[in-house]
Amino acid sequence: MPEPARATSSGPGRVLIAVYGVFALSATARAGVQIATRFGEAPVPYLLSGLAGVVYILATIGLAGHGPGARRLAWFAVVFELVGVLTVGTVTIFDTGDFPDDTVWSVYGRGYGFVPLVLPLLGLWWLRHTRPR
Amino acid sequence: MDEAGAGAAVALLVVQAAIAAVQVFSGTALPESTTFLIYLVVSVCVLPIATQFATAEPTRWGGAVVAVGAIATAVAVWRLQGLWVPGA
Repeated sequence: MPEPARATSSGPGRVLIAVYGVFALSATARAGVQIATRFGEAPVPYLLSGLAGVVYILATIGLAGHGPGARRLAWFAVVFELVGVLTVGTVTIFDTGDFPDDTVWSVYGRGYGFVPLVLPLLGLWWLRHTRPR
Repeated sequence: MDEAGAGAAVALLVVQAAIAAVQVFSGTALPESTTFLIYLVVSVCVLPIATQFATAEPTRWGGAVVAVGAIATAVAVWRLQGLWVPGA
């Protein structure tokens, strides 16, 4: 019998997955439009938006899934996301030259109410909280 | 209760999306029509998906899932307002 109490997909985890799902959708759709319609204007931020979208999709799948494989995927995606938002956030504060257009992670996700900064912290807490003991 | 409210909201969103889509496809020029249409789809789809996803959650967190969907829908509608600049 699996232990449902430790599943990442129930309780608060379900809310987390919903938020991740929304960000997966919005970041991917936004990057898709940007890359398809005006890629030449700012390739770096658009590709970065696309990368962020993929990371959010992987985190959503990892958190919604069951078993050690899904958990590893979630860990990887959430840590990647935290490193990404901190790196891009810091770079965009000091140098706007490389980032003429906003990404999800610009200035620690200011354009998205700083949710991109809080989300990986909640994700890490939740993965730790539900880890097998 | 949750679902009746969400259902009423979705019904209004469908009406809004239908009116907007008819206008866009019958020649109203928007500077970012692709983005507008994506947001239009999102504004209609997110709440039903969130409601469905929440029904599988027996605890009080189910309501929070619907709330996340409602906030996302509100943001989409707010973005629609900003993108609706006919003739610009």
